[in-house]
Amino acid sequence: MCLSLDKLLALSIALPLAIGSILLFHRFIPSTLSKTLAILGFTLPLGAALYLAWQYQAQDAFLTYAFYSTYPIGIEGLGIRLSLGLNAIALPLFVLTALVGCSGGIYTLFSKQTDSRLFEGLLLIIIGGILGAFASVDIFFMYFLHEIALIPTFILMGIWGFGGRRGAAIELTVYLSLGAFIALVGFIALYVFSHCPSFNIIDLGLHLQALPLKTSDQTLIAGLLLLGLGILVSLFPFYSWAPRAYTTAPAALAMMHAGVLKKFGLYALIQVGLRFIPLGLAVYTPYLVGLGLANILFIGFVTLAQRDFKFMAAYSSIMHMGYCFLGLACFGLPGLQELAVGGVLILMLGHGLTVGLLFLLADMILYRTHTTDMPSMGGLCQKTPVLSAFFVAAIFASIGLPGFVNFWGEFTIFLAVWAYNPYICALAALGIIISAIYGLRSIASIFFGPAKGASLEHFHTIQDLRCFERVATLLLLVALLLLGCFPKMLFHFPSTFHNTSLKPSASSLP
Amino acid sequence: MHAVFTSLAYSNHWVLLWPELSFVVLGLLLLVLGCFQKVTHSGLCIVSAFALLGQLALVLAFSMGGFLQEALPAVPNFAGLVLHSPTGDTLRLFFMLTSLAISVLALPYLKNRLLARAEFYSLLVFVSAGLMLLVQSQHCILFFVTLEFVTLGFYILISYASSDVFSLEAGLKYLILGAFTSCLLLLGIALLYGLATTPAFIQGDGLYFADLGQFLQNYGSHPMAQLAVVCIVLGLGFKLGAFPFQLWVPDVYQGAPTPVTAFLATASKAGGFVALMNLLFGPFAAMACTLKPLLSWVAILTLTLASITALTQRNMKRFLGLSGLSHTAYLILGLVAAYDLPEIKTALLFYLFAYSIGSFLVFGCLSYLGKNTEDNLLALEGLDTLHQRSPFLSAMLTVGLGSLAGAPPFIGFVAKFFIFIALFKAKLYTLLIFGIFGAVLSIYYYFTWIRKLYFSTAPQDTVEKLSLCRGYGAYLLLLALLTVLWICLPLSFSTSMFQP
Repeated sequence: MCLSLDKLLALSIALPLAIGSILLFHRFIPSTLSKTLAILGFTLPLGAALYLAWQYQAQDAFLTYAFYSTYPIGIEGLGIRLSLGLNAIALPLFVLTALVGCSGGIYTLFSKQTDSRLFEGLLLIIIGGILGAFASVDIFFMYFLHEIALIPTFILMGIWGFGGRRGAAIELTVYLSLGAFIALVGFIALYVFSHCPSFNIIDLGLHLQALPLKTSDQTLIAGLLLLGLGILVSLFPFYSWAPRAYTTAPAALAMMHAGVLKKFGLYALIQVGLRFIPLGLAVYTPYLVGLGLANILFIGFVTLAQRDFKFMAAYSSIMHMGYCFLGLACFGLPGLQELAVGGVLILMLGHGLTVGLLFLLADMILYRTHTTDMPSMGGLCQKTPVLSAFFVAAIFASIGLPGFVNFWGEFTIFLAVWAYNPYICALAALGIIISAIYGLRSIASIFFGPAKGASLEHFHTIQDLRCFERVATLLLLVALLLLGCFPKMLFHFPSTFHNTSLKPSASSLP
Repeated sequence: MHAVFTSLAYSNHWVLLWPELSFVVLGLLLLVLGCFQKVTHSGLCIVSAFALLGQLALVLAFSMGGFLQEALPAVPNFAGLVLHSPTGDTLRLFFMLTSLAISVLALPYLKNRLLARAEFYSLLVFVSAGLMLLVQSQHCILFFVTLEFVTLGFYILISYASSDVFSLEAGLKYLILGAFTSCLLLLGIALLYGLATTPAFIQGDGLYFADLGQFLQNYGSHPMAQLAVVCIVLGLGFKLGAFPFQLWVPDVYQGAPTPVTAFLATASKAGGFVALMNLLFGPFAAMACTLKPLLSWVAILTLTLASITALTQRNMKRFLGLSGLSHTAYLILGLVAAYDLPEIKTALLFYLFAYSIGSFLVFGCLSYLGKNTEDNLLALEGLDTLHQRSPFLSAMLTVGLGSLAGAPPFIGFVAKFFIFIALFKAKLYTLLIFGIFGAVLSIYYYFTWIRKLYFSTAPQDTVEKLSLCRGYGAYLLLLALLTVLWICLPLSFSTSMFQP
């Protein structure tokens, strides 16, 4: 490869941002060129991400960050540099972003409902931003690139959203800004208390290994980060923004938000929190466990009560975050660190793919029956067997059936939680039963049984999946299956980072 | 005595004041030119062109003049009345650029109204010269004179549209409240003079900042001295719109012609702020125990008032005035933090710069939108379906409003970020909490405006397109690029900031 890998990483982030910005001026470029640019913008990062993932195994295992590069910018004095790199925690999420982004982008490009260059341009900016956030080694840029998605989300939701979008857009923006600012204060606190002249994670790590933070400082930082990032990840009780936001957002935006942007909070907690403030986080373990269980059980029962499929998918995504928080809370136990975090990582990847798939399929169903109200549909599989097959696969993946990657994530997390407290593990496992109930019920209501209601109304015009819809769905489904059947590809990462990158600066052994 | 006079006379290096002098000369030339131009469209164009090109030439000459070097020590001039320093030179460039930006901004406004243009531009240029002197003054009299000169210029500029009732009313309100606060300021100066100027305390004129600083170090705890200092600070707060002198802001911002509102929002606020900063960390440096609580309360109250009142505003210019008060509050919060972290002063100048760029962008779009209509009635409803009428203008407005809101990736966010770091480092946690809530609220009310821009769609055929002059569009685009590409700016001031 004539291009060095770190430049490839930087390019794969810069490209969607650049093309997105160009597409904002789509009136000045010919329409075929803009469509080609859009396609390139969605697919090239995916290619680059997969290539980097393939190359990652060949890297020196002792390097914390692979493909590392630094670009000095003006504000050197604060220790802020644009440093890019991927480590074992960032790489799966980087690939996830590229996959979900590409899938959503292809769906948007070819479906007539949202065929607008402005839409694709803003979506590309979101994708570029979050790709950069996962690849950033500098905490400021991690936050900054994630927040680039704020204004594009607002505009996308407002113009192309579904009913109630105006209120939902402003509610989402304000709620997420609140969480983001609180998390920002947490990051500032980490920077100030550590007396480290840099926001770079590697520098902070070296600095804090020599001089770890006091427990009281760690507790304060951990509290701020958990509150702020918890709002971003819809931890109980800060979840009320999520259902309205995901249901009113257009398909590709919902996929990006529920599938990728939500994972950022957990990613930051693992990458920054568990590395630098493990003692602080350990103080909050009982609360995290309690709130995680509330996510699983409380939100699980709320999901059971939903009639609308999109609301069901939205609440189920909040519910699955509960598993991730349980895994995060169990990090403090000796010997289980890589197990818990590895499980969370795998579940994040799997959940991102699954929920992206669910929202994509929801939009396809909506396009055909013009409703997502489950009781008023039925018998759809008579006309759309391929869609039914994909839907069944997606629901089973979300439940955690072996063969899909979610299983490995949930299984690993349950192993860790069992070691913490068997009763908590039993309660958490109830969540699987709950998701099975609502998942299977949704399949039955929408696809099986006699055709009635909306399905009957549009019965003759309903067609099975078109080519681009199949491509978009298969991108996600194949990834789910492949990683589910060959988890060795993913399990390589946890053992790698156990050796090198995830050395907590202090053990949280009591 | 003769020796004293001679030495003072030899300190009059007029050439060091060439930026201010050249601006004054440009203003006078504009007035002369205006005598010979008829009040017709083409005549006015010549005046505008002359004004713009003259300012551009001066800006280029100044920035290439090699004044902006970090290594130069401060040079006192005119017997210590004026102090030329690198910071002062940066601010001179800032005010020159502001004046240039406002001149461009004024073009759509002036084009459709046959107002005398030469006076407008010459006033603009005079006021800028006054501002440049204000931030370099080290003597109370020069300080007061330049401040009042600027205010006087604004009295005229605000009522410039003399056939418009709103404009006249705004001018009157600014005059009355401005005169009152000038009296307050002068009372403070007179009190300090009265206290300080006795041979026991000071050898010579008790109005130099350095002498006052020395006096206050020794006798700052005297109640009269504290009263004087509080009077001066509050009087100066009028220009910033700080509590308790914030009542004029919505009415004056609405009534004044849009370019003058922009000038008020950026240059006047910047001038007042830098003057306050020079005072606080110059002569009043010893008064920290009085001023820190005072400024904290002023900042909190201004922020609360600004956030609450801006939430319900439907008129664009009133809204920008009230939301601009929240920026004033952040600047004052930064001042409070600067008592413990002296390095943050450059970050505050950066905040001024970021705020100005965002303001120019927003006011630039408003100036264009209001060019044909009554621009003081520009309401939220006027932004409806703008994204269909003019996608470019709505994109520029979005960038400007986003930058003012402090949303990433714009320069406004970075400026707020510096202030948050400073507040945390200075352990001002309560103020930080207020700052965070203010930031979230500002995102809410600025985004309400972006919502108006984009969220309503009318059928394609009922939409009439707005066409934008290319040059003006390029000006807006340049500002928008500055907002986004702040990464490429040489923010070398940060090398000295926040060293642990």
